[in-house]
Amino acid sequence: MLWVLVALALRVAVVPAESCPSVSTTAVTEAIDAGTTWLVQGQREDGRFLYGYFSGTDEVSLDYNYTRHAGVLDALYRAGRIPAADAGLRYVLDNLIHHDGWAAFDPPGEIPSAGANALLVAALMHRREATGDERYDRVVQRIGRFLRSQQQADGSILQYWDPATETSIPGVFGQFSTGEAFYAFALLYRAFPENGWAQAAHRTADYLATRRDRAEGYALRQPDHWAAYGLAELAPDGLTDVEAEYARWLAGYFGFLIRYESQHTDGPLNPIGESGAKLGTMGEATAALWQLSGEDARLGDLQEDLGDRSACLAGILVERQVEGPDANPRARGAWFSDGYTQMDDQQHAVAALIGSNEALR
Amino acid sequence: MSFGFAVAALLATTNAGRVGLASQAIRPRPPNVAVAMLAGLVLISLGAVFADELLDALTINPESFRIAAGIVLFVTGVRPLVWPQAPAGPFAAVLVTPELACLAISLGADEGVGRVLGATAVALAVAAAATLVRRREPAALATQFLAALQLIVAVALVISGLRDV
Repeated sequence: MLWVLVALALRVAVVPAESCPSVSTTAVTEAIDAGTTWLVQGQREDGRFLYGYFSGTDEVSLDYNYTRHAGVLDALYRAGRIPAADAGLRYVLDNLIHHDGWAAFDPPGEIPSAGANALLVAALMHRREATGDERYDRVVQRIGRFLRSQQQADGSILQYWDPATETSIPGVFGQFSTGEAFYAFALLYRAFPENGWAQAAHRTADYLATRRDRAEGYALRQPDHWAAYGLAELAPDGLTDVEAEYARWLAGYFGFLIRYESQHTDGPLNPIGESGAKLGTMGEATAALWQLSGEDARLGDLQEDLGDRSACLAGILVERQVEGPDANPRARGAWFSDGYTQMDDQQHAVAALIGSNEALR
Repeated sequence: MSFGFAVAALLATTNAGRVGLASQAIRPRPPNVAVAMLAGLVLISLGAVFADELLDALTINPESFRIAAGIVLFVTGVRPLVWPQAPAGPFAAVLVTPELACLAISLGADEGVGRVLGATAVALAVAAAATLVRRREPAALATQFLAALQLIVAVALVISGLRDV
């Protein structure tokens, strides 16, 4: 009798059934379209986007975050929504600061940050890839030089540059901006291999893999989907052993998160679903690492499982998206958590689905 | 996971010291010892052979089940470590335990049947040999050492389940 109870407790708390809704590439494509439509329909005349929406009270959030603005531009370029992304880009280009041979996005009310500018580089590189238009090649490399000016000798990335003192603010690091800068360096290297971006990328990758968590005071090793993107981008030219081992760790971490999500969300122990942003970052990392495992033989043993996890997460995302002709038009296409959605929920979920679509094919 | 890990895990979970203690308490005849070893072999074989079907039926990935198996091994390993006693029940069922069943399923899903049966041969040979030990102290000491190994295997299973994709 005792063992029956133990088995039941294990089943409920440790190994509930994993629920991975089946999903087709068509359904994923439709979900990407609906998610980006939510962003485009909320875009204002100045190119900025609707930040957040409470479905219960039918109220919008008046907050704004320019790192998320850059992240949304990147998702829109990757999804092929070029006119809307270009409108958002115009807002950025109107708010550039130039200094000492570099340029940086310096939005009103904020100071230039590594995170926002790294995602701006990603957006511009994906614009170049999507359109073949090279008109922003100079400006994107200038922004890259801003990121390089924020990079320290050990590969860490200072988060802010202060226009008042015209110096980087020492000792302040962003939770995500180091991985974002690494990804930006890797993208710049792929497009402009002759300009020293590879060294910058590998230096920050080594920092992320070996020192970041201790140096920046994290008790646990940080999951970093931006690092996964960066590693996937560097893979065609070869990762170091340290980088490959870091990629394996990231794959295990995000794989576990997706298994956990497929077991627990909406269950008795976790009735509140994760946000679109949280689910999306899991999916983005897994899809990027799936791509990487196809490039690097040292990680080839992970590819099948990563493909399964990526497809599982895509099914979960498609299932959780607000859809259907009767849905509240302000909610349709969005991912909600506890009655609230904001722009980065759509950004990350859409980016994850774009990556998953590759794995599903 | 490796063949060496499978051998260590099965050695720990069949716990020859505990088999020795049971043998001293019950004094089984050779046919009873053979039945006990056969029961252990059948349990492990069934777990390993039907691991994939069982996990599919439960809709659990092998990596997730590894975490559950590790928890069962940990919980059941504490008692013999602290209190090395002969288990209750008939000698023929000395190896029929929840922890051995969970381990067989987990190893079967990860390692394949052939490697699990190879490791089982080593573990059951040691368990059978333990029935020849007539003194309590070495059997009790072996019980504790193998229980400690079971805890280590349990932690390794949980960590592996958490770190694998």
